[in-house]
Amino acid sequence: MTIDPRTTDPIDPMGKLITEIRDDPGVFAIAAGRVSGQQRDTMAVPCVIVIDLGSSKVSSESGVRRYSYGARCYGPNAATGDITAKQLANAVVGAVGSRGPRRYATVGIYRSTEVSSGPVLIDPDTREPYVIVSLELAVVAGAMT
Amino acid sequence: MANTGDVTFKENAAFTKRLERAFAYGFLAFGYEVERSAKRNVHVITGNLRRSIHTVCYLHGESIVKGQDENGNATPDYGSHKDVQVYVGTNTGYGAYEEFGTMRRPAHPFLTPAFHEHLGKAKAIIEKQVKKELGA
Repeated sequence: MTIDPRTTDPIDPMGKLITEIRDDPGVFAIAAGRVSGQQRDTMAVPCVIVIDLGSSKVSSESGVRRYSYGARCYGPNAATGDITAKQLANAVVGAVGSRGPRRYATVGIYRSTEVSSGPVLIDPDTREPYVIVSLELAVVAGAMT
Repeated sequence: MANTGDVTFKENAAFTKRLERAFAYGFLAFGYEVERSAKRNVHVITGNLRRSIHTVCYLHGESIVKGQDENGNATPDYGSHKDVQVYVGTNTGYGAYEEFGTMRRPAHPFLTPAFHEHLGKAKAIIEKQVKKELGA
């Protein structure tokens, strides 16, 4: 079935974004695959939690939709945790911070960009240091062929 | 003929200034729309976070709106910048925890969705305000 990207809203690309971040060698070296869109249950390990921040249509002609995400990059609750959090944030930015078009079966990501990276914050619940990276994706529905 | 407009525009410094100011107010109007939506979206327990949401607009490094948020606190200085820059934000310490979540509390984004809500209408909002400022 052919999908017209001008009239079809793309599938939320959050899953693909998580996969891309998780599979990046730089991120994997620090977080060891602990990248998810949910709160985690184990603590004191580096991990990335991706949050959906909403989306809007760029134009009705092109069908491009702009998605915003936040990535909370945690360092373990240790003396060097803030450094790990920064390294992890840098790795996330390296993975998807400035990437061009790529096509998947269900979604086409035209561009992903880093909007901002914040300072090191301390989680009020667990006292673990983390850095927030804001990401933006320009996405069209699957049939980019 | 194409260059004539540019030359005239540069020579007319007073009009350029007026136009820049009109655009700054246009972007400020957009910021106020985002602020309004953010205040509507935000989770309210005491109302402190909602009252702290504010809009600041800079034109060539100078703030064109000075004042306080609804808590009575002065809006923060976001630094000197060139051109026109608009900030919609909160000066509570826990705004980021609410927007992005924490380890035990899920995220309740209120600022970014508000921005997305009005992004499609940005041009119209700015245009309307610029025309109003210029008396067009």
